[in-house]
Amino acid sequence: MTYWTELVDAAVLGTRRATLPKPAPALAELAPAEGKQDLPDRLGLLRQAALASRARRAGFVAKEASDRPAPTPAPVDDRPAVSLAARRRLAELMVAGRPELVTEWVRLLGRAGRRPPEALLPALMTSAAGNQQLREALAPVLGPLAKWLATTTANPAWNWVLPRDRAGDLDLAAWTTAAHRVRRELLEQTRRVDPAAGRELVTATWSGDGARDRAAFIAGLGTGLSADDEPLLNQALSDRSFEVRRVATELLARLPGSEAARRATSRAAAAVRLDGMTLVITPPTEITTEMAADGLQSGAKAGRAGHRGWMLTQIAAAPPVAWWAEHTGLEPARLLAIAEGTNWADALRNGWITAAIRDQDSPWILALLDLSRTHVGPHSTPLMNALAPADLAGWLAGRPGDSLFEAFELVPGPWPEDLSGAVREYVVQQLRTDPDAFGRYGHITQLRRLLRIAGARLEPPALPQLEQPEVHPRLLDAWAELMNTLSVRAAMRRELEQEP
Amino acid sequence: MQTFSREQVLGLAPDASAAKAGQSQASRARWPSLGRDEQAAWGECQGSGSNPYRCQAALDDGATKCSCPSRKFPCKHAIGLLLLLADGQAPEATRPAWVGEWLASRADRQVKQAAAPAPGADQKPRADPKAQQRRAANRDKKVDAGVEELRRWLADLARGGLAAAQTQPWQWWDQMARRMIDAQARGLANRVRRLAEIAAIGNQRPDWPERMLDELGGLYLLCEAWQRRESLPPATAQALRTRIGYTQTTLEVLQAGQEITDTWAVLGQRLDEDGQLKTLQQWLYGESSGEVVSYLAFAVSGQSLEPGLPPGARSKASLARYPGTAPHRVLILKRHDEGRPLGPLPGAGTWDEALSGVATLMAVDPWADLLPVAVRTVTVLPSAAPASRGQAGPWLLRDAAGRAVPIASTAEGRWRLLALSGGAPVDVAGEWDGFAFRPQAAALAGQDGQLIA
Repeated sequence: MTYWTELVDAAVLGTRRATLPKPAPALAELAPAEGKQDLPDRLGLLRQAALASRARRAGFVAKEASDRPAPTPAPVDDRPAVSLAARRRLAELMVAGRPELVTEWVRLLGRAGRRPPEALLPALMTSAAGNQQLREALAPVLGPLAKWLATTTANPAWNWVLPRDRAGDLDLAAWTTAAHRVRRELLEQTRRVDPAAGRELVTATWSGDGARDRAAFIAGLGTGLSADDEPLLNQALSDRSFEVRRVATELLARLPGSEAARRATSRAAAAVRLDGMTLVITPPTEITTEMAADGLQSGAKAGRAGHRGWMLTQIAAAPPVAWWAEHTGLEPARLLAIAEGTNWADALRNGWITAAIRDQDSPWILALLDLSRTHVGPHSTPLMNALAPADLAGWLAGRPGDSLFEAFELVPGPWPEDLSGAVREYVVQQLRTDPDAFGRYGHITQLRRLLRIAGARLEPPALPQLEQPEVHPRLLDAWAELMNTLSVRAAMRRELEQEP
Repeated sequence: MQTFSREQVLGLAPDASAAKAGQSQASRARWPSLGRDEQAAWGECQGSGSNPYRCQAALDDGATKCSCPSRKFPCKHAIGLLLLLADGQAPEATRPAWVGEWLASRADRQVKQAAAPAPGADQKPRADPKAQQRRAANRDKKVDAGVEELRRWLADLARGGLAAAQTQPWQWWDQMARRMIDAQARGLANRVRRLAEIAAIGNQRPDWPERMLDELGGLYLLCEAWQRRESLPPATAQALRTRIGYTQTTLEVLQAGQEITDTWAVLGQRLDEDGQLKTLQQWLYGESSGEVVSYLAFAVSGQSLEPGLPPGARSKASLARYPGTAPHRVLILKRHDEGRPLGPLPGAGTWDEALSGVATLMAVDPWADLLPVAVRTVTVLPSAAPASRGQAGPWLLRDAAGRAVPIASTAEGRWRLLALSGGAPVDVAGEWDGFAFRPQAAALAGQDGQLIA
């Protein structure tokens, strides 16, 4: 115990209870003489604290720590560093909260073949943990330092940097005890390397798991799905929970050889067949026990098309959507056009929308998107979400003027050449439009939104420089922001090419 | 030619929304006219009205003027203009008449101001020396009463003990801090608030009693020194007055005549926003003098901060030292160039060497409790992985002699330093608070330093 720590202990208790320590010899002569104090004990502590705290600061000596182990230094990264300007740019973008531009910066870094700035790497790794696009851009440019940091600090947010566990290393024992989310991840990882082992996990606890768990685990069989899963899926078809039955039905439909899939296609073939160039549509009137067991619902949830329409929707949705081409010998667009002319148009279309989204079938989704917006309108976002970004970009490039502006948000940057070109042309044309020509309600708002998005995603070259009077006053803000973002991105490219 | 960096410009913004709005104005497209010369930058910015706003900035100190009706200062147009300038987008041009008029009126005002006290200090006209003495005596009396009250309060606190004080609600501390503001002793008020902060985070920091007693000791020493101020050496008496909350006018600083010109490396910067008040603090390391000084600027809401020197860079400037505190606070008289890269960091070889100057500084100003410190070739020692339940020990920074001090930074700050070092020894510059070290700049051996906090 030093004099200072004794004094601290006394101070914690207070002078009413504690006795003050005897001042250190060096301080004793500075300490006030006895008897001269107005409030002896209390001020005694404060006076001593004044002296001792100043003495401690003035005489502070760092502690001996030779025996504490230091981490082994990180392996050297041979790639050149970025320029000071590039480093500052990244820091600024991160502080300003521009995740899209940060992601682009990281992509460009990879192209320039340089290493990420060390001091900004921890913040990048933390942001990337919660941002998939950034993670995908960052993963290939990470060097030895990232792994070293994740290991040295044991920061759980950086685990994604470390190589994924192999099945042998997975802690399967945790299956029975872990939280829902952890179990889902465990199942997903197991299925990826060993589907049978994953299925065994699900059956092992099936009888004891709640409905939410059972539905999630059945859905988890979607990874590495094969005919071996059919018995378990069939068992799930008679589950108490509707959600479990629904998920099982969907998966069974994806198993071409399964009994359930065979039943689904034969029901669909019976309800809809092509006769010459007309569709003969005969939805069932009654729901059979077999249909109910396959997850079909009766007309309790009757939509506009009524009970039989709802049956037809479910029957049309059940087989893989690609099966319809085999069945009718028609391209999706052609089949849709014929179906639109029937009394069952809504019911059929809704079924096919569900199936197309589930199967992420590009030809079908594109055909559905090409249908009049009034029919597909509310479904367009899920449809576009199900489309691969490259296909969506191709589709949008053909129709930037369509008011499907929200679609642009779904295509991550940088936009491919053809989409960038189409948007650039469209934007310039719209900006130059006579203000009074914007009749349609909400058009300006949507255009402003497109400008905002385009700034971060348009592939260079930038927009041509317009003269300000040419621009519609209500678009001026968004346009200036767009030009600003484009110039920041051009600067990013320059700075990353500069010598460090 | 003088320009400001993007960081500096954004630091001028009165608040975050103004900074963002300013960035949206920083587009060449918004400015039908834009130009600059040696002394000023200007432009006309198209706003929502029919006439464009005329906006201008002086390059010597970043002062701006705009014809828009915004009450924010600087307004978004001015920030946009300075950002365009920082990006090199303002072309050389001939100054229009309206810019010339403004520059002339500014020069006029500066001449008048040099003779008058700076704003922020006692602003009354200095008519009658007697009245001035009377005012000074009145203030001293107020401080006398405040100090006496604080002494009694401290004595009660000591009697009851730190453990009891630590559980007091915020208001209990705040009430005393307010009393000190009423007594015109802002420095004392700030220290009482610091006590409240130590109490508030006590539950997470096992060393809180030590820190609290240290703070109490310093505060009590202020009280006792004030009561004996007649017998103090002049330098210490000046430090005491500053620490209590007496401010000095620019004229007083200039009259003290402590001017110094050097190339200054800005190795630390802290920008605090506390409600309405913004504070900028920089540590400036003199290249040839070896002296380290502190630049400090305040701005209340709606005003802009004087930007200081370019952070994380070296630049030549003439400064004037404030008499009193250690290390010296300074006034920037003239910037001679814009920033250049930092270069290698200065620093002592060991902690003992780096901290050896503390006693000398404290002999003049015993309240010097936050000190700039630079050390070379130190190794980051992360704490051992948190053992089961127990608290992980602090991270350490070990010098070449095997001695170490704790690192005070947040987790993010520690990670940045660790990442920069990659486990190799680094040179660091930062702040020593008497208990732990907060690194603000770092460099690998032989490389340029960079700001990391």
